[in-house]
Amino acid sequence: MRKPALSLALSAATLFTLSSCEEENNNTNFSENGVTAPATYTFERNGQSTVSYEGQTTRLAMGGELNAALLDFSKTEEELLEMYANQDANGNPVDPFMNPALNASTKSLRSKTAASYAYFNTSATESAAIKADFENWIGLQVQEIFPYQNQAAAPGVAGQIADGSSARFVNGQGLEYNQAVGKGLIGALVLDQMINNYLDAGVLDAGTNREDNSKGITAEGKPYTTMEHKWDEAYGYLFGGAANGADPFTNLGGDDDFLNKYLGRVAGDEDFANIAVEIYNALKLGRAAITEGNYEVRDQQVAIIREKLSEIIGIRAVYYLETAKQVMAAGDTGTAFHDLSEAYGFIYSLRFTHNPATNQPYFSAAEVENFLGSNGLLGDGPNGFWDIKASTLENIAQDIAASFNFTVAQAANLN
Amino acid sequence: MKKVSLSKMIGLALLLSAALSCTPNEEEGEANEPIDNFDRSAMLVHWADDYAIPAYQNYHQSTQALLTAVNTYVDNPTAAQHSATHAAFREAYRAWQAVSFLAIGPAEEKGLRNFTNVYPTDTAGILEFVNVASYNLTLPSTFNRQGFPAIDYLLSGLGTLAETNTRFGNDPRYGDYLQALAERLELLAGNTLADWENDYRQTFVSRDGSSAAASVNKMVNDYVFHFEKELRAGKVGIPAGVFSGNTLPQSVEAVYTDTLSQSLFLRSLAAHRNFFTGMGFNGQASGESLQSYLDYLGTQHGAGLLSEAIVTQMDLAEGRAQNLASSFRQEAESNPQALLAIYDDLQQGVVYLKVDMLQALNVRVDYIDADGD
Repeated sequence: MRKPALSLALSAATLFTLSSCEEENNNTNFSENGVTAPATYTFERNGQSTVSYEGQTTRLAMGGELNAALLDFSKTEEELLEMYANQDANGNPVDPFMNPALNASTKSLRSKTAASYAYFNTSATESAAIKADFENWIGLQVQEIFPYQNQAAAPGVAGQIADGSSARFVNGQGLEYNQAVGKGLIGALVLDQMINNYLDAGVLDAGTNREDNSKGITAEGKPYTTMEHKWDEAYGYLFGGAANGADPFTNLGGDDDFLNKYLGRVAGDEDFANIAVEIYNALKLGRAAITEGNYEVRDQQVAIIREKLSEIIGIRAVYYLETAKQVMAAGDTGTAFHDLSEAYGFIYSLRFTHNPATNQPYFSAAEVENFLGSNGLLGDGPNGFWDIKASTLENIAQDIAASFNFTVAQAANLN
Repeated sequence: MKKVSLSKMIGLALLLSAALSCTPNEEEGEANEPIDNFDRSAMLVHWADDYAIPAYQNYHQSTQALLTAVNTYVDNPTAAQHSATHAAFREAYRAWQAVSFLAIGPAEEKGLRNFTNVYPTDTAGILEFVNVASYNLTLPSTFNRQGFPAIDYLLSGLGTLAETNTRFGNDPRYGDYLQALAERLELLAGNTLADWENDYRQTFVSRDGSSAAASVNKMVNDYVFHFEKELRAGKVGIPAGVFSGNTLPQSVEAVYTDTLSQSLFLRSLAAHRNFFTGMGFNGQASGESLQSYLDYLGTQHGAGLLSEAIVTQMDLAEGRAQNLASSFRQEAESNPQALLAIYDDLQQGVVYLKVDMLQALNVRVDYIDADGD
């Protein structure tokens, strides 16, 4: 573990960074158990960079376009589903994106949804059901929301509702499907790929990866070993949107709509001011450990990353539940529904968290369904959020926090 | 953020973090019994009878005058009628400033501020509505296509005076939309006033406890929210670039009239100060106030009174604003430092109000910063 003095210095540095000043100093090299992490996420072999994660940057950009398109009322269901799958219903290539580079890619959001090695390698049934959840929400956005763009929402009636000076678009139960998709993908795609796939021993050590890595045998035609590359792909899901991926603190939280954004938000809460630096340092140290063939240190870092990133999901779920409770008490229905819709997506994402002590998610699919469905957020009456009780929100928030190493009060951070 | 020193940036950041981190962390359960012996009831009566109701009466009359002028102008779009209509528009916009922060009761239920003064206005959306001649102005998605900012655009943003008059003369859809906007302002103002005069005054005065739903707690929150978000951020900080890294001159209030923004700011600032110090509307009857409440509690700031520190911040901002051009757009373009100095004065005021005052009054903040997504 790091020395306290270093943590303190890093914590102060984070605060400065988050106040968007030019000043920054998260880049410190340090050593642990004989492995030295570089100052920034920079790794070379024979003078050539070995870091590469374009595929992750591409998918984050596809997700950004999908999020925006879900509120473009001129889109058809077919067009939105093609953005999700990057192919048509018959599997033919399509060009659904504004950015031509994304159209040129054969990657897609759908193929990596609920597709991690650790959780879904032998669970094709659940993976298909989760993909179907996203397709269902996308379809319902077009079917239930788009026709009623210019109708005021009411209990049981889809339409628009004021959130401050802007309008949100909700179904008859008050849920924004676009939030379910956007926040759900944080778990089902970004987190799942990162911590349950690329950081999983089943992927890092697949085939001859470990032997090749130990001998410095690089992937064919590449400057990196396969194991190094897998680790970088995990890194790319968190920092692949940054202008300078090696040193991603300049605009922390502003580099995508997904996990990076909420890492920035959580790190902005003084209760968790260190979390971004802790995750960054673990990613650096783990990568350095791979290059040095120290798999014990590597796996220690995997445990840290899994725990901390899972916490981000839990913290934001509790934050939105508590925020919704507060604004609902102040009579601000539309704002509460928006917070509840974000909470809905983050709770959905809990199923993709990874507790390093058990190698299981912090909450199972059944527990998540219990939080969301007729026993949970949508269960206080026929009209869902319109009927919701403060006690329901508090109970779910308490249940979530109880499984993590933070309190409801720390996550809520109201004012 | 150009032309702003790093040390100023850090200073602002520290102020912000001070505001965020110094709030007391109270328990959820809230007492409904009085927490001190200050006469909250007398303050509520003063707020209702000497401030809110006469201010809404004045505002409603100004919207009636605006509607009358608009109707005349639409029938006969001449330079003289335009001038009269614009004068009525300016008067109503100024009158609005006195009631904007009273976002409690009927104004809260109706979303009055959202339907009255969301800016920058959506000019493309306005032209779309003019063209299709079909709109539902009760929808939240139309906040930025109506109210004073939209009227400002239609009266002063379509072109020269002659072009504007020609447009209204040749295409009745412009006049129809302008009338619809003026009618809606008048209707909302009238309904809000009627609610106060009929039932809400009694409701407001009777909720004299100290729970989150009590009138003092809600009104104080509305006041601090408005000071922070509308006065400090909307009128000054956003155009000065505090939240964006570059200045946003087109985001000033009444940008199409252009010479009105300073006066609207000063009206709003004066309204905040009058309400705080216990002045009635129009400087008439004075009464119990946030200032007298803080003084009753003996709330100190350093060697002096907190209430005086708060008034000082408003006076400082006012003094600076009075020395600026009548157009805050012009200041944002050529002299953003002057707006930043006002912002700093007001930000210090926010810290005194939101942290020190709310702690002294034992009022919890009931709003949170939207996280922007």
